[in-house]
This record gives sequence, structure tokens and C-alpha cells, in this order.
Amino acid sequence: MIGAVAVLLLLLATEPTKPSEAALCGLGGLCGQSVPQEDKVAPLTRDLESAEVRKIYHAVSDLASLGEAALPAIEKRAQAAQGRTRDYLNLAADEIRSARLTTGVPPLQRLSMKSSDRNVVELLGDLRAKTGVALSLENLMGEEKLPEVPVDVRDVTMLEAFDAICRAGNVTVTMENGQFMLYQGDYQEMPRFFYDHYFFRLGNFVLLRTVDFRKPAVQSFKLQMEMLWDPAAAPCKFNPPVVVEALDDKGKNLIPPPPPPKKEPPKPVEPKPPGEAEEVEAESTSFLQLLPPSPAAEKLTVLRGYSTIGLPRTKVSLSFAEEPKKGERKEAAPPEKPQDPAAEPAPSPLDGMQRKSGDFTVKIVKVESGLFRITCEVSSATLKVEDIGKMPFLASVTLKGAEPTRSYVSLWSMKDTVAEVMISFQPLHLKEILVKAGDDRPVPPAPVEKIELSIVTAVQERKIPFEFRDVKIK
Amino acid sequence: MTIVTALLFALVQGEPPAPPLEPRVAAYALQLRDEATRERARDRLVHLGKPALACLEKLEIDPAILGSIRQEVVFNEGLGASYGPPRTFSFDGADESLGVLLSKLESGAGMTFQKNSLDLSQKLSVRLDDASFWEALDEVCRKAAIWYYPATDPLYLNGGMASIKPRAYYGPVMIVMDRLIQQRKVNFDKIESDYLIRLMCVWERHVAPLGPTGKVHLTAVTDDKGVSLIPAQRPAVPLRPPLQVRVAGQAVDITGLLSPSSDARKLARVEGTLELEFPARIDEVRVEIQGENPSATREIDGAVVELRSFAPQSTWGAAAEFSIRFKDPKEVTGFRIGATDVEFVAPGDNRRPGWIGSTSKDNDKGTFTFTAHWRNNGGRQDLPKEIRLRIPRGSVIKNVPFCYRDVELK
Repeated sequence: MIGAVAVLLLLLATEPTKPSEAALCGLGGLCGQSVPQEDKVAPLTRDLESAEVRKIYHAVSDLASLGEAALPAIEKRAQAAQGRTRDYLNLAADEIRSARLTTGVPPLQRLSMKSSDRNVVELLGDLRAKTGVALSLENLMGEEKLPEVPVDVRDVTMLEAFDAICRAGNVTVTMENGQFMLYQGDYQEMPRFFYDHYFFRLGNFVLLRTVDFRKPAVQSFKLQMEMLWDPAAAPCKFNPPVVVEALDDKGKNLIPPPPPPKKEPPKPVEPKPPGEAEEVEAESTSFLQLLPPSPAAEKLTVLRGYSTIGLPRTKVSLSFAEEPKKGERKEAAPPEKPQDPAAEPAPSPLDGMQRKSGDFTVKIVKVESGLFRITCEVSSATLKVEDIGKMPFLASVTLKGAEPTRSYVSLWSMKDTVAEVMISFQPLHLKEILVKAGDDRPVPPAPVEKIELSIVTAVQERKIPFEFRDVKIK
Repeated sequence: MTIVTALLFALVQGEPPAPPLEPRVAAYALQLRDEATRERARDRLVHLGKPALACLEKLEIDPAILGSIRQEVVFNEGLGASYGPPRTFSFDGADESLGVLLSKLESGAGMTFQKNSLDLSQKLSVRLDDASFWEALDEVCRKAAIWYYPATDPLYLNGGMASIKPRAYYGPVMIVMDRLIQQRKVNFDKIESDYLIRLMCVWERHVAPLGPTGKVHLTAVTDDKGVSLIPAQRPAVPLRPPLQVRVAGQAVDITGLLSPSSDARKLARVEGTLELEFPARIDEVRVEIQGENPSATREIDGAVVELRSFAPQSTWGAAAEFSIRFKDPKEVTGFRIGATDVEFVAPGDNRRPGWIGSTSKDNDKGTFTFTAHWRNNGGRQDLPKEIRLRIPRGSVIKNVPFCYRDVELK
């Protein structure tokens, strides 16, 4: 007996902790230590029954990070479980299955921050240094001295820390074109939910009762919900959120009944190729349509569901950078002269550069550093221009001196055979001190050094859960 | 065949001669004494105009009511051709086919209905006495289960169920209570509540207002629990900028009201007046069309009207582009043009209203530009030889009363 315990302890001590190692064990079947996996799954499963939402979803996240090796144990427990616990276990299993099919999404890290003597700009600067999150702090840099704000967060996701800092420093966060925008003041206390690289917040709810004298009065209850994300894990596509549980404090179920089946026979649906997601049907801000709560209800005790997003599964990436001429000796660059803002900027050496990868050809039409945009033409040997236009694009733009930027790509126009896309970027000024320059002269734009454009050729769907408890409605 | 004969017979017969004025006025004067009939009687007396006023002054009626009628008659006279009494209809309750009844309404009001899926041969018994066009149309539609949306030109009559939206009639104007919307918005930092009553104001074809201003003066909004929905301080509602085209009917939202009691089943009374804007005067301009690229300039008081172009558009019609330059640029701000302001005159005095395709205004230069389209009847037809414009100038506000009782909230 003692020997068995000793072996078990040894196995536990040697149990791989990193998801990649866990995946290797699961795939190769070399470890085969189902007992230790079960032991890891069991306490986390108990956490799923917690009354604390944050604890529950940390447990889901931790279960998912156990990787493929833990999948049989999680599936087995899901079969035996009921209600919410079963949903959470299925979610963790889904997370494990979809993790191997996405590309370019960084693993989640948790962090801790404690400070009482730094201002909000310094704190956000620390956060981006720790996590690499693409934040532009330009809007927050005023001439007046910012107050020091206390922050103490432990074992939180980047977004939880980010929100805590913004709350302490009274900074409003919005998301535009997949990038965070920060504004001084007006931080609003809205119900929030954090999960992985994503967070949801409820904007408002509207209870509407309409009498139009044509049919019985209609009541509707709509909740506005916004999804925000770490730009490093930006979704390519959104599907409308699905609510799986909504109850008010009087016990009324607020989920609308399914619509009656249509009389017309359903049209045959063409099977989609594996990995191809549904068409874009929603945006990051959506409305949850529910039944109106009981008249005496004062809060929603639970509002739970998920939003399905599309993440890159496969992509074709093309890099553009100035190539050093052969035989040319690299000499020390002469000191730069201050650039006249009114002067015509010199053409970029990347202008006209063309790259081919697989079926795709991308040409840099024009780099306009002063306007922070790059025009590209994308064509394909096999796809029509309309199909290229439907594909998600990702871009990474690096400025001179390896200065990073945040960027987004939008479809600009479609010509005969080429889709014209526009890359817009904003320097992050990571290497500069976090103080605004004293003079009002605009900073001259830095030349673009490197562009990487990715064409997402297939997306992997992933369910991102949300859960709010005790949402006051009166 | 029977329907066609009946229609022809009705048209040949023409409208019956109007009953003598004095007994009508006397009958309405009597109705002024009864609260249930007072509002309608006053409406009719006002719209019988000056001749009725002379008769009324000979009768013994409340001087305050007489004074108010006199005041409104004079006011209405001042609106000129933009306003007029309602077209009235009387039916004696004898069985009549739907087709005949509708054609009487069409010829009386000078408009054509678009009739969709109607059994025009069905017999109806309609009894009406001196009813306005809208009252008469609603009664026929109620009996024949016809639904129509009142703010289209032409009116589309559809078989089905008659609308039960509450209606208020006043002279040639009808104000329909289109919907009631109770909204409660919780922003998690503040709560916004609003109760909205949406009215739709329409008028007979011979009446040509600029449109409702959007302002409503409420005297009573109460639910059946006796609670008033008018707050002590009703927030000022920013007015919508006026449309550049005068259209057949427009919605007016009454916002900023309190919500009815939670157990209220009806709005007991909704009463007030709605501001309807009329032109202070109409300037008429006639432009003869000559040559292939006609252009012309006409000067009127305080403005210059220019026909910039008139060009055929394939086989179906032609388009005329006009520009009106006001000497006082402020005048362009509230200027509106409507289809009834443009009349194309083809050879043989064949007159046809235009429809407004596009408008634009330059507030700095005080210029209003619009395109009016002429569409022929189909087939080969000569182009118009003349365009007549009615340019509405200035603004006069007429307060149109409305009153709804026992509006169901279900």
C-alpha cells in the first residue's frame, strides 16, 4: 500500500504541467497516467461548482490548459455531470479540441501587479512591457501631472489587470477597429466578465412595450453586450451570442421560446468544407433579446451564454522588407536632419514590392508613412476577387529601428482581379519615455521598415463564454 | 358589368345638391349644447365658413363658443387656397355596392384609390351625415374590412381587417394614434424612462400644409386610474429639421411623458393640439417650355425662379430642374416643395402634377434646387408646353385639436 502511494506521489511529481507536454503525453500515449490526470481534473471540477464566477472560469481555463492528456477524464466527468457543471466541462473539452486548430493565438498568462506610487500611464506602460499588449497611451499624456493610483491585482489575466488599472485611473476604454482606445475620465461601472483573452461588458438594457393597435401589445427586453479582446487574439469573425441561461430573481426564465418552424420546406444546405465558419452575422457589440423580466424583479440572477468567434486556422503570410544590396557595405547612417512636415515625403523602398506565396500574390502599392497607411493589392491564381474580399486579413507593421505598431487591415476596393486592401497603423512609441513632448510640433513619421500581411485562408470556431450574476435592473 | 353600370350611374348622377345652410347650422348649434356632440358640431360650423357664421350669429349660443368659431373662421380664410373645408359625404343607409361607395369618395375627394383584392360588388349599408372624407372612408373600410395606410398617395386599400388605431378628425385633417411606446433604459449608471405617443397627421388632397412642426400642446393625458402622464416639467424636445419635400402625411412623436400606472388598462383621455404649418402666401409662376433646351428666369417678390433645364427621359416622361434663389438667405432654411406645387400642362390643357425627384439647398447662398418629374400616361404623348409652380412663402401655424378617449393599452 505504502509502495503504491509512493509510486503515485512520484507520478504526480513527474506529471508534465505545460500544456504542450501534456499534449505530447496524450498524443503519444506514452504517459498513460490516467489516475494523475483524474486527480488534476477532480479539484478543478469542484471549483466549477463555486458560487464565485471568477473562480469557475479560472477553473475552466485551468482545465483547458491540462491539454489533450486530460481530455478523456474531462469528457468522462462531463457525461456524469449535470446542469452548469456539465456545460463548463464541455466548454473546457471544446477549448482543448480547438486549441490545436488555431494558429497565432498566444497562450494565456496570468500576472500580478501591486503599486501605490505610479500614475495610470506608468501602470499601463508597465502592463504593456510585461505582456506586450498593443496599447497606445498617447491620448492619456497630458501636460498636467497625473495622480498616483493604487492597484493590487493577483493572478489575473492581462485584460483583468488592464481593466483594474483603467478603473483606478478613471480611464474609458473603447475598441475601434480591433484596437483599444483610451480616454481620460468617464470610466463607467458596467457589469463585466473576463475570460481568457476576451472580456464582455453590458452597456445597457432596454425594456420596451409597444402598443400598435394591430396585435396585442408587444414587450421586448434587450441587453446590449460588447465584446473586447486582446488584439493579439483578435477574432476574424463573429457569430451572434447565444444565451443558454437567463433567470430573474423571481425565478422567471427569460430565454425566448424557439420560433415556430417555417411552413416552407427547408432548402438543402450545401456542406461546408471543414474549418470553414459561418458568414459574418454579428459585430462585437450585439443585443441579447430576452423575455421581459417579472414586474417585481430587481435583478437578473444569472445570464449565461457564449459567443462564437472565428480565429485563424491557416494563413498565408508574406513579408516585405528592404533587402540590403549585394556587396554594399553598411556604413553608419549620418545624423538625421529634422524633416520639414510640409515637404513631400520620400517614396518608400517598399513601394511596388511584390511577393508570391502559394496562390496569392501581394503587391505593396504605396506606403504613406505620414498618413499611417499602406495600400496593397492582393490577387489569387485560383480565387475570384469577391472571394478574396471575404477573407480576413492580418497585418504587422514595423517602423525604423524595430519600433512596433498596432495595425488593422480593411478591404478598400475590388478591381477586376485584385482586391485592394488598406493597412492602417499607429506607432506605439514603446521606446519613448511616457511623457508627451513639450512642443506642439507633430512627431515626424518614422519610415516603415517591415510589413507582414497574412491572409487567413481558414478559420476555427471557438466558443467564448460569458456569465453575469446579480445584474441589477432597477 | 353590373359594377361598371352602377359606377357610371353614380358618376352621371353627380353629387347631390348640398342641403340648405340655415337648417344645418341650426342643427349644429343645437348640438353645441351637448358635450358628446359639441366638438364635432363646432368643427362643422367652423368649416362651413363665413356664410354659416352669419347664420350662427342670429342664433342664441354661448358667446365664448361663438367668439372662438368666429376667430377660427377668420384665421382659416387667411390661409387662402392652402386650406379649405373638408369634402363631406352623406349616405342614407341604403344597400350600396362597395365599388359605388368608393367611387363616390374618389370623385368627392378628387383622388384615386389603389384597390387590392377587394370584392367591389359586395353590398354595404352605410349611414353617414355630413361626414368628412376621412370619416367616410374609415366607415366604409370598417364595414368592408379594408385596411389602408393613410400617408400614401395614392391610398392603397387592401382587403383584410380594418385598422383599429384611434383616430381624431378635424375638418380636412385626420390625426391617427399610430402607436404607444413605453421605454425603460438602464445604463447601469443612470436610468432613463420615456413614454411616447406617436401620432400621424394626414390631410385631404385639396389641403396643402407645409407639414406638422412637430410641436404638440397637451392639455390632458390621463390613464384610467386617474394619473396624469404629463410631467410637471416636460423636457424640451429638439425639433427635427423640416423635410425638404412636402409629403402626404407625417408622424409626430409626443415624448417625455410619464409611464401609465402599472395596472392601467386604458388611456382615459389624450387631448391637445398639434401645430400644422401652412404657407403665409403662395406665389405662382408659369414657365412656357420652348425649344430643345429651354431655360427661363422669373422674378417674384424676394426671389428669382430659374428653370435650368427640361429634358425628356426616355419614353416615360421628362424632368425639369428648377432653382429658387431667395434674396433673404434665411428664407431657404424652412422652404419645402411638394408634388402639388408643380403642375405640368400638356397640349389640350391636360394638367398633371409632378413628383419631386431630388432637392438640395445652399443655406449660405439662399438657393433651393429641385427636380420635378413629369410622367406621361403611357403611349405616345406630347411633352408639356408649360410648367406652373406654386411657391409657398412664409409660415403660419394652425393648431389642430385632437382628443382620444379610452385608448386600450393591450
